[in-house]
Amino acid sequence: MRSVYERFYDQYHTDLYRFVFYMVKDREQAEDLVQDVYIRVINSYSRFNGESSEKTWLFSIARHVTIDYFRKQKRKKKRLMDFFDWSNHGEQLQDERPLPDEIIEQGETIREVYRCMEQLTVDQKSVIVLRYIQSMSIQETADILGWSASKVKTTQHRGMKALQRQMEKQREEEKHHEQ
Amino acid sequence: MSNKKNADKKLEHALKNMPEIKDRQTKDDLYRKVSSRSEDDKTRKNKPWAIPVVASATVILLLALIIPMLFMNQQELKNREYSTDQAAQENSNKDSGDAARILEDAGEEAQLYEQKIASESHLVLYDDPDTQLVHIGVPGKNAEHIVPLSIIIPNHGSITDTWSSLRNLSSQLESLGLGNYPLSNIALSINKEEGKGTALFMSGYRNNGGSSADQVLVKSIQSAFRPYGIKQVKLKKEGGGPVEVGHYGELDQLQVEPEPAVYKLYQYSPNHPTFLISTETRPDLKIDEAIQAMHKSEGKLISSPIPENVRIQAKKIDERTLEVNINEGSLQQDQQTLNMVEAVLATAGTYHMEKVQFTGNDIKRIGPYNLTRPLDVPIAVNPLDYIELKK
Repeated sequence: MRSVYERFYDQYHTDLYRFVFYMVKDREQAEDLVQDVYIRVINSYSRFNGESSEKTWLFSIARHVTIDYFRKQKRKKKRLMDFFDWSNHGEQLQDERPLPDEIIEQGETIREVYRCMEQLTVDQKSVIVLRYIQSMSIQETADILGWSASKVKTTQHRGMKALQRQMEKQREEEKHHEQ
Repeated sequence: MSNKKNADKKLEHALKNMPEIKDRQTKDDLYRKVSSRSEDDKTRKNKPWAIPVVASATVILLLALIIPMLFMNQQELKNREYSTDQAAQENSNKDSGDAARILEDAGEEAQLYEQKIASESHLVLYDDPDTQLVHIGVPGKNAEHIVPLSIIIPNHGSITDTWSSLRNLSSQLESLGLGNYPLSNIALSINKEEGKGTALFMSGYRNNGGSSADQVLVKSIQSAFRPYGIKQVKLKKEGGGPVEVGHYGELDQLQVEPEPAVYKLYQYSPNHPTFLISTETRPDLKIDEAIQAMHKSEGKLISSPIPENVRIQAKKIDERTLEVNINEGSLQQDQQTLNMVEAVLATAGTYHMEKVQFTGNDIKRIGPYNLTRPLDVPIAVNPLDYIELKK
């Protein structure tokens, strides 16, 4: 058990944590979720048949763990929506978490991109994080997501457009506030 | 280069230069958490109600070992008498010769026992992609309040089929110290995609249990559908016609509203497992009042989940987070503390809280919970493994 953990940790932990963090954008949650990933890796390593690379296998587990997390969040949000009238407050629920120090220290564009990533769908976010932040190839991304290369390209294109749109929207809102 | 291309390049550049966020957990810390949670998961999945039985057996065994040892040791110190059986006497000298060591070992055993017993969880905290939950409400033996159960079945299983088979498992449910299964002649079905639920009252259904039986029946149906977000359940009678539900009169549908609850502990006897039980609240009861209400036991079978010397007080930090302060007394590393934490989390969940932060406590961790951090409310309470239940 420990040897499997150590091997995966030594080779992939930095990339794994970065992926999970940028997916959920919450440091503590990311810490909990990487624990989930390792638990699943350890429990199912005996069934890993080597059809994909270890890295692909690990990241597809990480993706499923983050999807479970989002499903749970969605259900909680739905419960809240059922209870309160969020029609006027829905936006406030989006993301009130403070920016991590590492992001605060960056320039305005990076801070802006980080905030706007929240508005992407889970699929778009997965592709953008894997392709750009993790620097993975189209094929690696497709293998992790279990998609065709063309689906990765389409989702990437739509994700980038959505991100641009959101950033423009935010800039306009800021201008409006300044006036 | 067009503005659009420039913007695309700028965005790509920003994404590629997003800073590295480092995991603050060390490699060893992370491994410890992973292995401890892995063990907890195994224990929880195996046989949730078996743990107290195993733990009790461990204690009895431990006492059976320690008491004679201590007794023999005292005898030895007093008079150093020899028994008639030389072999037995040599053996006993060997065993009792180092009382300190035995007591030390006993201390370690007791500590292990505490850790073990403090792992009996009553909550489902995470979605497991390999399983799904079938919800049902069963009354306690006093038939007053409802014990909501979450039956764990494989992901490919059918909720409707599981409800059907539960009708034949009423004796197993009763063996856990629960009351009569109220839906023996009622077939529940669900279409989650369309958000529809149906309760078909079969020909064998007789309404003859008085008004409290009517209430139990209605609450049990509501408990089955509420966690799936179903708002309305159609009531149908086999062969047609209206469904007569005692003092509720003729019903063709039942509303299922989100319902705040005050969770306490239900246990029929010390030989039976404990469950979280949802006790009644006034509709206008606020969350801080609900937490206060948890201090009160109700009769022999329903006890307060708050340890006797402990007083807690809650206040909302925001719409999603509840702070629960330990005002009096201190928490121990034991099952009582775990029960309290879980009952608070379950109660907070019914008030649409997402997180609970415990403050004013000395212990940092209990069971799977890190008390230094805000804790997630559960997705369900009282998990029971379907396969184990059928045995």
